[in-house]
Order: sequence, then structure tokens, then C-alpha cells
Amino acid sequence: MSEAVALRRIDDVVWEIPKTGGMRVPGRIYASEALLRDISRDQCLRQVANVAHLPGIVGWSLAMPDIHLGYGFPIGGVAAMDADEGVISPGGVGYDINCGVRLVRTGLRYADIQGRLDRLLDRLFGAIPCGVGSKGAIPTLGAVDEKRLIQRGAAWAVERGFGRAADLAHTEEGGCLAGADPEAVSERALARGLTQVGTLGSGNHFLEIGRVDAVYRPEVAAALGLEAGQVTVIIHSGSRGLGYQTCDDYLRVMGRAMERYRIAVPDRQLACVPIASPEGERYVAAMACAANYAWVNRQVIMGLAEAVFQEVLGVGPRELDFRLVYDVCHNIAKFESHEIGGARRRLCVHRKGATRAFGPGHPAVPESVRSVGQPVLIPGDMGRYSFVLVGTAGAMRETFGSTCHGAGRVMSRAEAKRRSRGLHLDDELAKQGVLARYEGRGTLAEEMPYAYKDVAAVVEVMERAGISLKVARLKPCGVIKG
Amino acid sequence: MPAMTALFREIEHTADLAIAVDGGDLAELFARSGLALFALLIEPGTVRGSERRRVEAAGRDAEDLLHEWLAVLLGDFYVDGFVAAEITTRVVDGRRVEADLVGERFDRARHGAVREIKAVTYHGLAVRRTAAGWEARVTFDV
Repeated sequence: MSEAVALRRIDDVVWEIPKTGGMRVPGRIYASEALLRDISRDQCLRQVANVAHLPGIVGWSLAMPDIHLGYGFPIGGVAAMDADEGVISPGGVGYDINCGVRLVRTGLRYADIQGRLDRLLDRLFGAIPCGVGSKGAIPTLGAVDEKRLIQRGAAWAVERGFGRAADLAHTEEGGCLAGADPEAVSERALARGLTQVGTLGSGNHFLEIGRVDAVYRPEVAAALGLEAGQVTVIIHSGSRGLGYQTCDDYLRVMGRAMERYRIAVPDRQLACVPIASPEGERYVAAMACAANYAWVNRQVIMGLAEAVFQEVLGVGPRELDFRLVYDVCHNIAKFESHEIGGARRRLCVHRKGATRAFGPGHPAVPESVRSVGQPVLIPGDMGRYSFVLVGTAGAMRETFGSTCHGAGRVMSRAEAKRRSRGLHLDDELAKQGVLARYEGRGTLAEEMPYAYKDVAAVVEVMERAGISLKVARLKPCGVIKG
Repeated sequence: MPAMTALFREIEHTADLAIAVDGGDLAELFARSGLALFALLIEPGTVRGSERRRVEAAGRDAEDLLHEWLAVLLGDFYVDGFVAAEITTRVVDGRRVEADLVGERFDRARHGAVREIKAVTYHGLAVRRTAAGWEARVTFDV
């Protein structure tokens, strides 16, 4: 496991792991030489090669520049399987099913909130439950409601007054993945999820107030409703305990079922079954429930945030103009049609720590922005910038319409904590002009910027490769975390 | 009652939390592993014992059992808010755990909230004999 993986340079931002041994396809890594040095420090390239062994994999085992070690699959990887012949793996989706991020634009400028940022953050922190053991935002939610919301997705939240119907068109899959079946979700997963609707979660989840501090492509930005100096809100959260438990449940199911299907894998953590199997179908149905839960969550949190902005700033909805730009998933498996070798094929595309980035003209892209390509949100680490991108035709050709997802860790949590000893973390953030409100005593040190790669470098690679294009940069000014 | 500071040691992992726990026999190993989980979730030493619970778990082998045992405890924490101050276990055939827990319901003001643990993973999961007894290794997704 510790021998280096052979790499072949394709160009200055693309590298190949040649097909060897049991690999069914080559590996393909998007990275600069500098990022490749970080990448080579853990065994994630070995994981990229391992994924290439999976039955039914098509094209390449892909790795984005923010790649790092995961469970079986690396984080920052994309693997597309033939929908009929291929396998599906919960490890290729992640524990936090539909961890994702949404970007909201407002009609405000920084001067409108500057003097009241403290109060805004305090009220947001009070209104949006964050951390460990916190109860959900909808206290009267019962088991029947929960089953309904995991079938309906974000529309369920809109019907209860969180956000508006127009938001659904600006969410991947309209905020609801088809085929969700609550019967495929375990009792333990449902129990974990019941009290967590509308909670932000902990770790690297956050709500961030920021402003557009650079515009790279003004016409595209305008099409997305963005302009320089505008106040924005980013919400990064996922499917909470319902999703985590669902992943755990199906890793167990598939770990046992694999023997029956005679699937041999180089790493036991690549637990998988044929998509066209009872276990595979049940996972797809359960994963869809978890994905829908996450969309409900982000819709609810957005609705709560909008109410806080109105209250603290004393503005009405028209003046606030709190509108969803787009909501993307980072951890999901989607059934999509892609062109491979001149033929259209139905594929199951696993994106774990990767974002869909469909190009201009694709019917899945909302009509209002279809001509410029699908908006992509790339949150950076806390205290540094985030980026808004759009997908391209190049992505459709080379990466199954996928790009990176964020910064990616370079340092263990233990090391980050050691490095932060003696630092007053609030002061460190304040030096960068970022106010923070957070819950978990352990997590702030672990989430410090130096624990992560520079997201600008990651995004630059995907721009140079023609996979996604920079539209705007967002600078954070306040963040709440669990 | 085991010394909390020696309950586990952290193993380096880029993204998540990996620990190693020692025990003289399997029963002690599983008890200490359970307490280690709570020590990661909340401030250790803050839990009073006002409630008793019986918890059982089963697995195909010792590692699978460890995973399931910790997953049950984690699930009970998030669903019921149960935190344990003391754990006494019986391990049967290396495949079943029967445990008596003494603890109480989670109270953020008293117990603190150190971190969220999403799941017990299978990564690096190990239960093995050592010169001194047994060692368990487990990685949590955080």
C-alpha cells in the first residue's frame, strides 16, 4: 500500500495513472505540480487506482485537485459506472449524503450590514440550531412528516413557508431525487434524523455571510444575479444523522452481500453491489431519501436566515431580494446520460467531494442560466474566499460534467489543533475581517485555514483544464458553525 | 473506573478521528471503547449516573462487533441523548456484547459539546491481541 503510484503527465494540469493489473480504466488526476506534491503525501492516488478496478466503471477513475484520503474511494473523486452492468458503492457517495452548498444573493451591499454584523450573527446563531445534540427547527415534526419530507425534498419545506417555489428550479434535481423510498431507510436512521431537520451540523458545516469581492466574467455574473460588492449568504450542510446512518447501514449490507456477487476488490472498503440488484436498488432508494432530507435542510436554514436578515436589518423581502443562485451536491450518485465514444450511455455517476458542472445548453441547467452553464459553488476554508464557477462543454467531454468541491484538507485534525495552541482563534479570524460564532470546542482549531489547501489553487487548475470557469470570488465577513 | 486521560490515544488521520484503546480482556476493551466514544463527544468526567440502561449488540466477528457496539451507543446518543459514566460489559463468544450502562441524558450546559461524530467507520477497524491483552482501533467520521 505504501509504494508510489506511477503517473504519466498529460499536460501541466492533467496526469494519468496508466491502466495496470486489475484496473479496468486509467486514472485521471487534475492537479498542478504543486498540488500534486500535497496529493502524493497520503495514499489517495492508490485509492484512485483502486476505484478503477470496480466492475462497470467507464472512462476514467477521476480525481480533482482537492483530493485526499477517504474510505475506499478518495474524497474529491468521480467514478461513473454503467447503469446496467456496473456497481454502486456508498463509499463513492460518502457518509454525508448530499452534503452540499447553496449560494444566496441579496440586494444588500456591505455598507448595509457592516454596523450590524455582530447582531446578525448573534441572531442567526440563535435561530439556526447548529451543533451536537441540538434540536431541529421544526419541533412538532413527527415520524409521518419525516417520511413525507424525505420523499418530497425541498418542495416540502417551501410548502411550509421556507423560501419560495422559484428556489426549486435553482436546486439540483429541483431539490428532489426521484425514487426515494422511506422503507429503505432504517429505523435508526429515521430516529437520528427526526430531531435534526433545520440543523446546520458541525465540523466543516457552516453558514457564511460574505460579499462579492471579485468578478471575473461580468456577463456571466450578471446572468447569475451577482455583482461586485453584493452581500451573499452561503449555507454548507448535508443530510445529518439520517444520511450518516444510511451510509453506515448500507456499507454493512453491501460488505456482506459482495461475497454472494463474487465481486473482488483491492480494498474491502470499496463495498459495492451491482446497481441492478436488490441491495443496490434499496441503497439508491435510501440514498435518494437522504439527499432529499439534505435539500429540505438547506431550504429550511435558508428560510430561517432570510427571516433573521429581515428582522435585524428592518427590511422587507423586496428590498432584501434574498434569492437562491444555486444549490449543488458534493456527495451523491446520480443516474445521468453521457456521451462516451460517440454513443450515449446511461451511467451512475458517483461524486464524492466533487460537484456536478454541466455545460451551456444542458437541459438540467435552469433556463435562466442555461446559456452560460450550470452555476457551481466552491466554498473555501473558513476565513478565506469562496468561488462561483460555471460548468463547460469540456467538463461534459472529460469529467462526466464534474469539477472540484472545495479546498480539501492537508493536515490532520490533531496536527491542526497542535498548531493552533496559544493562538486566540477568534483573533486570527478577526485579523482576516471575519467574525465567528461557533459551538463545538474542538472543531474551530481543526477547521483553521492552514489545515486546508488553497481553494484558489484548486479552482485555477479546473479553469486551466477548461472544466469550469471562474465567475466571481466571495470574501467572508461572518460565519456561524456548529 | 478507568483513568479518563489514558482511555485512548489518537492516531494521525488527515480528515477524521482515529483512536486506539487498550484492555486486559475483551470485556474491558469494549467497555473502555464505549467510554472513549463518549469522551470524544462530550467533556469527560461530567456525566452523573442517575439512569441505568441495558445495551446489546451482535456482530460476525470481533471487529464487526466493535463497529456495531459503538454504532448502537452513537445512535442512542443522538436519538435519546444518553451519555454513559460507567460501562460494564460481557462479551460472549467474541460476537455478542451485553452491557450495563450507568449515565444520564445529555445536558449541553453540564456536559459540553466537543464535536459531532457522524459515524463509526470500517477504516482501520481492528481488534487484536497484544502482549498486555487487547487493542482496538477505530476511525470515526467527524
